[in-house]
Amino acid sequence: MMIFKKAIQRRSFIKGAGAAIALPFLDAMVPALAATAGQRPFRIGYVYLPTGRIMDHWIPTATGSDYELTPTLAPMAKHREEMLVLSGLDVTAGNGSHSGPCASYMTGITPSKEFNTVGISVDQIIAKQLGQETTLASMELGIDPPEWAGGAVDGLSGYYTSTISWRTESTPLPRQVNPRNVFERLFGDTDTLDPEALRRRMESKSSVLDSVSDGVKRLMTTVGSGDQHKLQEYFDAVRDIERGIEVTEAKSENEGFVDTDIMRPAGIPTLFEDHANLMFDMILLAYQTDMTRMISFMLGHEGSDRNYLELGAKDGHHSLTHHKGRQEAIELVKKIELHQSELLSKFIGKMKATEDGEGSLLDNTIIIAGGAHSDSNLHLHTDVPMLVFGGTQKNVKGGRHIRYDSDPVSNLHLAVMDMANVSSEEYLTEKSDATGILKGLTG
Amino acid sequence: MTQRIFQLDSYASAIKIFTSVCFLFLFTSNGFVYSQSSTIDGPTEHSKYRTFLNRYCIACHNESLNTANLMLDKANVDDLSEAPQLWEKVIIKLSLRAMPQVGFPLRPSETEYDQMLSYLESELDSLAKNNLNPGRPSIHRLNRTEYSNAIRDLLDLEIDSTALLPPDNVAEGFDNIAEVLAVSPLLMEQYVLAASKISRLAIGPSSMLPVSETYTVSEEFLQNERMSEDLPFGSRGGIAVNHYFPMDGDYNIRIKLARNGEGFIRGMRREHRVDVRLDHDRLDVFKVGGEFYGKTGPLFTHSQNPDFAGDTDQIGYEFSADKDMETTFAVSAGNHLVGVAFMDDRAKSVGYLTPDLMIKDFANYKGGEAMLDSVVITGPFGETNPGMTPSREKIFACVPTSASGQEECARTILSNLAHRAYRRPVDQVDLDTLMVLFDKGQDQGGFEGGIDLALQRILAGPEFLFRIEHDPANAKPDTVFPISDLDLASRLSFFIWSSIPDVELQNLAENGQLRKPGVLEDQVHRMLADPKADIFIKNFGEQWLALRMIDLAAPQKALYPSFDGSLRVAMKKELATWFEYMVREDKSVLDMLSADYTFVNERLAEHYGMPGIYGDKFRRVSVNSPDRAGLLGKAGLLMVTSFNSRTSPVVRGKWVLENMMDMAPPPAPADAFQPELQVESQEGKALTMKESMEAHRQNPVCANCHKMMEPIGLALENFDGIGSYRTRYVEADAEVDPSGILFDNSEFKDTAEFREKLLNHSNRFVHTVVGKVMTYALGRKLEHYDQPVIRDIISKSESDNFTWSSLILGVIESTPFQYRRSQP
Repeated sequence: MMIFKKAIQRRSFIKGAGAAIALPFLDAMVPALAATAGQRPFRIGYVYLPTGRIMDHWIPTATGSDYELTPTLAPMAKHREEMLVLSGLDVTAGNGSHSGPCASYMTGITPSKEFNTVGISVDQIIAKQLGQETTLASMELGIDPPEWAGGAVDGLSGYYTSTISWRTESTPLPRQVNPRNVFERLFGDTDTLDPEALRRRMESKSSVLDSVSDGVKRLMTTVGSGDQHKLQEYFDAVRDIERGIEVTEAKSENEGFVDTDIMRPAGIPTLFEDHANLMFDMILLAYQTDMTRMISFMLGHEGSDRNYLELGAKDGHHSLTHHKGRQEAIELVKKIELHQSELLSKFIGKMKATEDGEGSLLDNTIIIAGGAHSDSNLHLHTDVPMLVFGGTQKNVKGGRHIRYDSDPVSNLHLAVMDMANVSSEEYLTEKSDATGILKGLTG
Repeated sequence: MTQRIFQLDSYASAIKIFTSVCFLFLFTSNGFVYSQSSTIDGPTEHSKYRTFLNRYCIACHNESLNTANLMLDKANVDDLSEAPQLWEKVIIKLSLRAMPQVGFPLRPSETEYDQMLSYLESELDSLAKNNLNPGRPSIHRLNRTEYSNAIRDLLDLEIDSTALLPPDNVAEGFDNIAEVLAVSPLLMEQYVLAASKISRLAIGPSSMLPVSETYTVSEEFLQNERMSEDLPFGSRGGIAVNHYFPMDGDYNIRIKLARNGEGFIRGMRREHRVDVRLDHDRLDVFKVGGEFYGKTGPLFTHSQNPDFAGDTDQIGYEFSADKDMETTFAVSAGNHLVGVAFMDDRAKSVGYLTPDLMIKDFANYKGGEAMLDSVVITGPFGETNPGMTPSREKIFACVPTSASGQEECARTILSNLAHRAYRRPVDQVDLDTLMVLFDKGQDQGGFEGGIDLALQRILAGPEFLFRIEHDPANAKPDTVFPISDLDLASRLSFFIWSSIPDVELQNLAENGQLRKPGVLEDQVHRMLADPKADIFIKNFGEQWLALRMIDLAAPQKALYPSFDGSLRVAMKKELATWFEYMVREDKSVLDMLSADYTFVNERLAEHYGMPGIYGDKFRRVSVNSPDRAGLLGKAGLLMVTSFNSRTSPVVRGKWVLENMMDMAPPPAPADAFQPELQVESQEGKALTMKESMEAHRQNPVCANCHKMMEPIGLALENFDGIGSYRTRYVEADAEVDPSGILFDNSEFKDTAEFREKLLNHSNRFVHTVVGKVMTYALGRKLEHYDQPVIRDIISKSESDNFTWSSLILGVIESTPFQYRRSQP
């Protein structure tokens, strides 16, 4: 981690009306940052749409900027200019149903059943390189609880369906599903985001840690050299946390404020909609405060069998997608997909409405919303649903439907890494299905 | 011998061994005689031990073969001080009669074994006496258990440390080994976060937003009997939770019932009543089920089946009948018992899965009894107050009556807390440090805010988190010195209570009384009698006897259909209760080998085939077969030493060797070829386990260790993978054959004889137990220089017949527990 000088002057807060959070701003003195001075940091987000989409309600027939919005995309109408609809992308390395394609989605590698390995996923590569500049390198979020991950499919453990993020080829990353825990991870054990309260908390935490460091230093002089290494570990760990606080404090030349009514969530809401909205709120907060720039969020496990009772569905999502042509089931699946589109659209709307420097938060973020399956009844992982939102900072040009010719989804990941100025070397192992940076996104 | 002993590439070694053996026969004074009753003799007193080694050991353990890195031809048996580690290893093998290996033509007589052992042990013991080495445990970070117990004793607050802190690293089978208790940045973050949460909880927040906690009942439980002693008599299923309510206020409980795999709530065909209680007083009763809004579909639901699943309205009801099951009530801050259970008002059905359902059918079944899925407690709402919790009472020893009194009161409170938390008297620097934080906290949060911040400093600081024993100021390097009374008090309380010393113990230490005659022994007995010592029984027992593994076992449902959550819990409870009984009743540790009694409830009794036991309370019974006596008859242990789909004689044998005989086999060589278990013969006939294990014996490199482990495991083959008794293998259609040869070359034809032969090594079992207790007490790995200490403890406990208290006291009075080596 880079060492920052502690802010010499006390930050002065310009108090605004209502609950406001300070917008951290990049200190221009800090070297080796991707963004040039004056530019807002570039954020990346992946939203995973589980269990496929009914593709004839998803993919527009026409390409270019005059495409017609299909029924499941209708809720995105107001974001048409900021949205790219991509078709013809395959999860080329995907293999089998659910587990395999899900594991390949962000890694571009076919999982090995023999060794239980996949590969490092794009979000973790990005996290490693951008994460040094933020308090949290990345966040992996979800909605379905881990115990729902079903039994083995095609020889691959059900666990593969519960995450898309892999830190190494054999280290899958679990996902946080409790919005309260996410909030606490971002802001600590606090109920509100009142800036005074936050500042006080950070100062309290700092003073405790300072005092602890002093205590350790004092103790180290009294123990034998053989024991000092343990205390040194402890001391280093405390320093690490202090540095994290310093990073947050050092980024605090205030430029403006954003109003938020978001309070600390109580726990996991019962209704899917409430749960998803809360998680989207947490994502928004994390981006706004620049706590992290890389977030992936699964709206459910791949193959999720969640019961959308509130939409009138009696069966689980996954069961319904195996409709075998039954119209009633197909209608329910479309309803579920529409519901998810509405939630996604609401999130995009909030990103658009949030100021970030001179533009909106959405301008400075690229959100990729897609999944590893297209037709879930047949377990296809070709021509998968894929939407791109935002990214105008990097000249992403929305308002179009682009049809590709069986390009691997990995190529899209390469394009994202390229925009984020992140080296894709680790992604491009010999087993990777990537063939080159996906063209046509920018204009 | 009928099989080739050595492979072709070891032909050279074969020649070497053959010639060595020939030399022995030519040059030893007695020639080749299979000695049954002779003693060791030779020209001088000492050379008789050299003769012993030459005759029985150096055929393999010589310089050119260097078997097991033991060159007994070169080792100096006249002066053991040159290599005590080596001789301690020899002692292990000789006392278990495990060397020479089974099958080696020359074996010492019993007298010869005893003479050699007697010499080695007394020499090493007297060397040790003249060169005390108590070892030097490293700085010991409080592990998760110790941390939460310390919080409980310091602040009168029960916390769920598993939610706040990650699990600790394990070494030597225990999670309190100082060396591996590291401090990573992630752990540090969690300690800091935990400190702030705990401090706020203990002091009581002045205000807070509602928080929800979900308590889920594991799917493994069939909920067809009373689930807990904390639930009412005549109740069925449900859950009892001890929930911490952070403030006085209103709280909401929402109840969710269990659904089948399709989402249908189970048991809605008839009405059920759900009883909700707070501290045993009824809050509410809900009626649920038994309503009809249309025709109901078949009991086995399945979405792929296009047949009728019920009228839509009825389906809707069966999906959401529990939507109004919630209640709001006022409660005071602190811990309260929340109980949710079904009122059982029918005659009990016989059998556990009615009617004989496999678990996978059960997934589709929506009939039977309703079950609880989870309970969510949310709050506080409405008018809230910090309330008067036990922890507030503990912390606020004084309450300032004026602004000017705050500083003094703060000093009192903080020095009290630090005195206990740091396990030593508080000095000026300590107090000044805390007052700095008090001042900062007071600026923003008043008096209580100040105490809060200072308490966080205590809980996150090294003085609390680490147990540090200091060398005396003027200690010369590498010398032995007694640890201070305060350090002794700490060691005692972390050993027996896994927590900080209480006031009485700490006072005795601070006043220099602890080492006065009789005081230490009195304190040990007091501490053992205290209910807080339950944690020792639980922690030590759970880890030594692998009880934690019972939670992780996953016997395959198709192969073990009778296994369920109730059986799992019963297995664990049996071992825990049995072990607790042994320690609390101060039995001889030897009873663990052959006790003919155990503790069962109805579920476990059924598993063991014991008739006539009803109800879920555990009660003492006699075992119903000699094979079930002692540790090796316990279903829980037999299950965790098996795989998910079958027994494993290797795992069982290894467990016994490692945890009962302290003779762990070395790990398999890294490049060992590990063949698939042969389950069928060439002709396709299913093999018995014994036949399958033969393959291990073909390769002599494997056979050396496997022939020690497998006979033990095979002797236990009458117990299947979940500890049920069997006499035949179903697939092989053959009898279980438990006969074999033990590592000490004694043959046994059945399980009873096996137990008899194993009991010959009771002394070694005591040795193993003492070793385990010592490891746990010292928080470090044992070394060769600890072995004489163990022998000493054993000889001192013999007159007490090795009771638990005599062994524990023996460990506490031993040199490694009371002394330390200074920095080398």
